[in-house]
Amino acid sequence: MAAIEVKDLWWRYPSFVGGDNPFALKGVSFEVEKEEFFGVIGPSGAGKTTLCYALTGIIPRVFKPPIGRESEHFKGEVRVFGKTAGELAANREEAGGADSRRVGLLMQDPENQFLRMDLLHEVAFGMELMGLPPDEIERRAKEALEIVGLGSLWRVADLVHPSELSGGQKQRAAIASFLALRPDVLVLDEPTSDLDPQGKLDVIRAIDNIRREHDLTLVLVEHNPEVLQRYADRVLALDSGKVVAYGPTEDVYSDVELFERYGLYASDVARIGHRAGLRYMGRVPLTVEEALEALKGRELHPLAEAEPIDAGREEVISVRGLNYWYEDGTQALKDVNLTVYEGDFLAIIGQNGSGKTTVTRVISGIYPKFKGKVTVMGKDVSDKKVARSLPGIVGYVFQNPDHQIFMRKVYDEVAYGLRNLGLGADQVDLRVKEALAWVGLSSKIDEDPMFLGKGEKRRLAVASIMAMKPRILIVDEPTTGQDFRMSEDIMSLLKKLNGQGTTVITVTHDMTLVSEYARRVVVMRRGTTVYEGPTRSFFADAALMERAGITPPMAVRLSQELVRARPGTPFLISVPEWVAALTGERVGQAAEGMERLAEA
Amino acid sequence: MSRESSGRSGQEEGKGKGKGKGKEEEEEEERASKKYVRTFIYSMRVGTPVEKLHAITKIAMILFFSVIAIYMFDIPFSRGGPDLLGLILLLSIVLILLAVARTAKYLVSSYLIMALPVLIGEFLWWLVFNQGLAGPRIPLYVWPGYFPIGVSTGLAVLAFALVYLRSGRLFSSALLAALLWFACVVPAPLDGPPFTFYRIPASPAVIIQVPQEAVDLALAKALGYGVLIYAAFLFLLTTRDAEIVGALLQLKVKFKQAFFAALMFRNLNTILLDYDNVRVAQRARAAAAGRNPLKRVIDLGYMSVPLIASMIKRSTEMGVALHARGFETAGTVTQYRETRSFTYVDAVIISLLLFFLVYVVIMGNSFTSLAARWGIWPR
Repeated sequence: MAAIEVKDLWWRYPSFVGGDNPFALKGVSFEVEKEEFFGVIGPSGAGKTTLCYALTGIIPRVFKPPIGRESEHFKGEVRVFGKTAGELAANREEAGGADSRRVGLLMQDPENQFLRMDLLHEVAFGMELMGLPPDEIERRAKEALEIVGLGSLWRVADLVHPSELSGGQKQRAAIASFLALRPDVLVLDEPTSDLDPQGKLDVIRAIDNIRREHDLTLVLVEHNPEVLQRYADRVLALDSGKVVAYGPTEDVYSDVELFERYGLYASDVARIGHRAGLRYMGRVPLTVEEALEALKGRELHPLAEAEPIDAGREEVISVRGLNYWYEDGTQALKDVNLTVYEGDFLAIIGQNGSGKTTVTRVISGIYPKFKGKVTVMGKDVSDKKVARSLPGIVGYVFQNPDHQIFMRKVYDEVAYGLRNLGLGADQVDLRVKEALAWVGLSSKIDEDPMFLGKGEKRRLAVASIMAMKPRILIVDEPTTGQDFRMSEDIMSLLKKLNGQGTTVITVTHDMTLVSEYARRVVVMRRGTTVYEGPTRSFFADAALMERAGITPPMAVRLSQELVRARPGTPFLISVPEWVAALTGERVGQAAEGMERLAEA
Repeated sequence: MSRESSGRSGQEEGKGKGKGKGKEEEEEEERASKKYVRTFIYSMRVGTPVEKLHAITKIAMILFFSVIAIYMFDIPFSRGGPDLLGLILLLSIVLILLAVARTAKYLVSSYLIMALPVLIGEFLWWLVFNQGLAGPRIPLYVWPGYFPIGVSTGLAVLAFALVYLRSGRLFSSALLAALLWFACVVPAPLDGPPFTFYRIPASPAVIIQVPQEAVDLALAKALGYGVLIYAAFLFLLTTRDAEIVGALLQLKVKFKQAFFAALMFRNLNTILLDYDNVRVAQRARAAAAGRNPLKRVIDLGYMSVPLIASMIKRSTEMGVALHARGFETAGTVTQYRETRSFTYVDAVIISLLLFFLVYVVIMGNSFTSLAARWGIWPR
């Protein structure tokens, strides 16, 4: 018997403002086998989260269809272990679904599913509701925290508030609270989007081990191709509520055209293979090993010239001996040094909790109480007057766009910062229209930002900051939780800005993006800087990456292997470089070609 | 999220932990390094006597203090009038407890200051609208009929110059200078403050007299509401959700109801966290602090847009999260480390509170009258 059976499932959310919403799921059918690792992929708005809700009975029990019009909103069938999960007004004890305790659902945003004020009770809460004896709760809670890599917090678990954890730790904690429940089916909706690449693989590996040991059936919504290629047995791809691919992982991932059509994340190797015509067993290579095999006999053109990292440019930011403590006395930054030059495209990378965001917040004047010397455009940031004038010089785009939307119209939203700067109406109008045109939101000028899509909100946030014409732009995790197309959009936007002279600093976990866009990187570990320099030299230094706990992108790993097998071959760090080397195009040409594909 | 890591705990992630140290030892250190713990609003120091109190004791404190304070400021003048001394005593106890809990740092920066205008408003309200009270009248404000230019003026100008040069805030410095000047001038005798070098004549002299009883009443009301407000802060600043759940469970309330009661308080904390994030995002849009105060109030209004949006999103997702943990179908619920035992300290405090209540409210004692009888307080 299949663990989950979905037959011709249709669902639309009830609308509260008149008119009907379009269907979010349109005739979805598939099965998940018992103890299977089942992947779900799709661009934003494809219906992945909605599907998770339906699998766990949240639809139609929490999100209820209007009474009397049930069949217009919910059609089809969802069965979990033979029991109907999505039945209306079902006898709860009989029903499947999340509240049967056999199905767990972990949602995207860990922040919103924390229900308690300390880590210990957060993990214990579900078990208390299950009525487990206290010693059993304690044993399982400790074990779950250890599995997700938070074992060291056990002693303080009753004192740590979930909001005090780093983004990655939060997701680990949320996963722990479900692992402790030992469900038969666990549905995970992008559970590791905030984790660094190494952390992501560690956590998924841990969950996979649990799956084997406890006969767990796993449904994982995930963007990262490497995770799914390595662990998923089968994959379902959704687009606009419809199934566009469904089958063994390898088959789905070798259809690169499908990925380009729907804007999905394909692996570096598959993208290289597709663009440069590499074949492995009649399809594109999917792993580094397969790519090495496919590369046999292929010539690598030498790259024209590596982009020079010109020295002697003007220093725009200088950080010397920076120390920072949180208000509870824990030290977040220890003796941080870094320099940013005019026109840099700099990526600050490092594991979760290494202090990346904190550094950028000190630079932008958000955290004023620090020790050390921080200057921006030669001015001391610790001077209050300088700090107050910083928003006009250093633009900061925050990770969560919902927290930075203050107005009820897109136009006013962009104008807000400009008016705060005291610009005249004409100037404001000009800059708003210019900024919206840049990010491609001109047609939404009169809409309410709250109702924009996720990617659009993100672009609006960039536009609002951009319009203030900062000379330095800091973007915190520009691509977290975004689909491939949105990520490419935002990154090419930043590249365009950078090309026009804006200094860009990003904080990111996505090493593929770092390799393609950043010219220099600053690497942080445990609150201090361990490397600052050209991206290429960083990725060429395997020992340093190991020390910093950074997993290099596939393109770099391919180079490492190739150089080992064929010494003397050029060390290529990104997909465009690989494509250029294999096809003889220029790197810029190759990159543009890829961007066009992403836009198509 | 507002901050990437809580420092040490963040650094424990990843490989290479525990180098050169035993795991136990490191955990011990971890525990010791965790000095503050989040409460319904802000945080408190771990291990203070107030932290160890039972939630029931803290709730009893709010209730008893409030009842006693309300009784004290409402004692009619026929029976000796409001118990000013008693109210001062109560307020001192509450403020001392706040200091003991080591929450004062945050308080000073925000809540104490925020509550002050309310209390001053309270004072003025009761003063202005109680002019009909009998008894002797005392001069509240004396306008000598001219602007005295002298030491006070010099002080005010000096203060303005210093503050303006340090902070660059025109409005705040002017306000401070004006307040200082008034503080020097107002209590002065009718023939002007000493060291007056020059008098700019303006309008005839004015003396505003108010009944002594109105002043007493207004003071009592301000002090009394201070007790009410700060006692509530004391509770919110030193209590966490598990304490509420535990206390209600001990009072035989069902787990689900107890959890919901705690959840309501917990959401205060969530809103504060959102507020922090939104404020920072707003600052990044050049809505800098220290500009004209009207603009700051308007900016505060704009914050409601993201705050309400995230609250709606949160409440929807929390509903789903509750469902996903099996809240709705939960049968027998066990509790794990929710309750804490009721100690003899709690018993002593509640007994004292009871005694205090009986002594004041039932036996009708007034500390002010008592002190006046002993000659240590003016009659």
